Amino acid sequence: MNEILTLTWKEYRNNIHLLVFAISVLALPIIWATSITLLNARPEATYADMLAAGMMFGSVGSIIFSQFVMLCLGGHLIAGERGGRTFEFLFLQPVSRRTIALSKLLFAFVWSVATWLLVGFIAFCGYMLTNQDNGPAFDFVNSSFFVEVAVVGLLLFATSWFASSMLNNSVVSMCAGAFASTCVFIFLLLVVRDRFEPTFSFYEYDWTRILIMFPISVTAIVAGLVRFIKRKSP
Amino acid sequence: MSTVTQTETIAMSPKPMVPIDVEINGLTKAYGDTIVVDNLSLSIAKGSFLGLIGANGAGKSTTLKMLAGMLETTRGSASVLGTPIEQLGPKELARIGYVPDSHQIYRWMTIHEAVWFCRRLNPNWNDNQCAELLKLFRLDEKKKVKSLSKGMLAKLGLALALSHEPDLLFLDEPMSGLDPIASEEFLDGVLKTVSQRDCTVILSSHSIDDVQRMSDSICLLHEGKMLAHRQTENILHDTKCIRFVYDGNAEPPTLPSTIRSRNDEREWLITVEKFSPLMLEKLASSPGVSCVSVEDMTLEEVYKDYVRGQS
Repeated sequence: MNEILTLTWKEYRNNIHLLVFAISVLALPIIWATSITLLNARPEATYADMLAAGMMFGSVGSIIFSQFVMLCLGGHLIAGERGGRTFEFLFLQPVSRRTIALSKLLFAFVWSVATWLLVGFIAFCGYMLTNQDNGPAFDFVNSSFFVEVAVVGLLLFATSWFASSMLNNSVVSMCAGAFASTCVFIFLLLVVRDRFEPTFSFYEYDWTRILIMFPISVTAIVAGLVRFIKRKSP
Repeated sequence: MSTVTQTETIAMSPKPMVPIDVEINGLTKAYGDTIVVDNLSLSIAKGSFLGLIGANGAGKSTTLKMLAGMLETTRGSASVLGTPIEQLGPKELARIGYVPDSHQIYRWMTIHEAVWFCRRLNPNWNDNQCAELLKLFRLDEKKKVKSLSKGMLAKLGLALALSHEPDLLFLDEPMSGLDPIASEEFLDGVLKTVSQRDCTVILSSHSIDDVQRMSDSICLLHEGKMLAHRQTENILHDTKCIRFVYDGNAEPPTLPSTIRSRNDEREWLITVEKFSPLMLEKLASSPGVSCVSVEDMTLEEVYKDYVRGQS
């Protein structure tokens, strides 16, 4: 446990630039949405309404943009260290590859859950401020799409993580992850919809996509983990 | 012209009663058709200091990386501290120290953080030893790794590698690019720590003087092949250059254990691996041979003759 915590601390410090980027990505849409709402609000709207609308609309943008950060994180966690040759230093420490990989996944898990909860909390606060329907943002917060977006983040992370376990360049890993994820989305939109749910619409909130993306993501994470542990060279 | 064979080398390895820390049998590493380490076999006794000498691409770093479990082998086997290298785990790594040629310690870390990080991961960490080494190398714990010079970074790498009191230390060209003073301080740090403990050391370096100064035995590598593995004093004592003038029409007489033979018109120079006075007598009595003399060689000359004798 001591080792995992130490290595997770190292992951946090090693990816702090990405963390700063992620916070910007999360904060900016909320700030933009709130500002735009405040500037264009109807005269009769209260400040609470305007703020609530900004927070809810902004959280939609934040959670969608944060998927890109998950892609970056997945691609960077292994390939970034391999490209920077810091694995040579890390692999000489008396810890197993499994512990190193688990600490990376623990860091990514804490990060993604924290992101998701934070955005959810902001959206929820916006909802609580007015407690009324504000249109699409309200629907988003109240829907399974909010969960689905998180699973899309998981898929993006998983595919770029798997690519990262094989490649030496984090940017290439991200591109490979984005390509693989796009293939899964196309598969979901074209094949799965026609085969299993003829009336399925992309704009409808449905758990089917979640149930398909989740096992694919888990498989990609486990495959990347195994690949990382088995690969001998740093 | 003959070169030292693998069989001869094995015969020169320490006696069976001496505990062996590193045992290598036919170790080979290839990348596609390119063979980087070719059928390397040697044994290193516990507490001994082995110097690996070779040019760039001789296979020194690859060998050390394989021994540290950081590279897969293509063929052959090796064991380190009694454990096959394929099975090296955290327990064994805790007994191994490794100082690479380029020190890839996280650049964002301060020295204090780097020490803290390694200390948390190494069960055998010795705080006193670490403090002593940091003091010896005049490393300020508040400094960031990215602000360190190459020499200071090498010293930090050594301090981190020695602070968990390893039984086996790999030094992979750690002094490349260091100025003479930094290099000497580095080696002093190694000697100071190693002399306190029964630590086995493998040092690979381009600096033949440093290797000669530090090593009990020397292994000469060239293009992945081992040319010789002998005790340092023996290699200098036994390897001689024989100079003579030959006026005959036929080929000049050959000598056993010749490493390299060359001539400048009538004057011949033959480097032999195992010199004996009988060689001189035999040579002097050969027809057409005159002005026979024998010269001592430096380790650098020996190494160069081994390498040039290959071509």
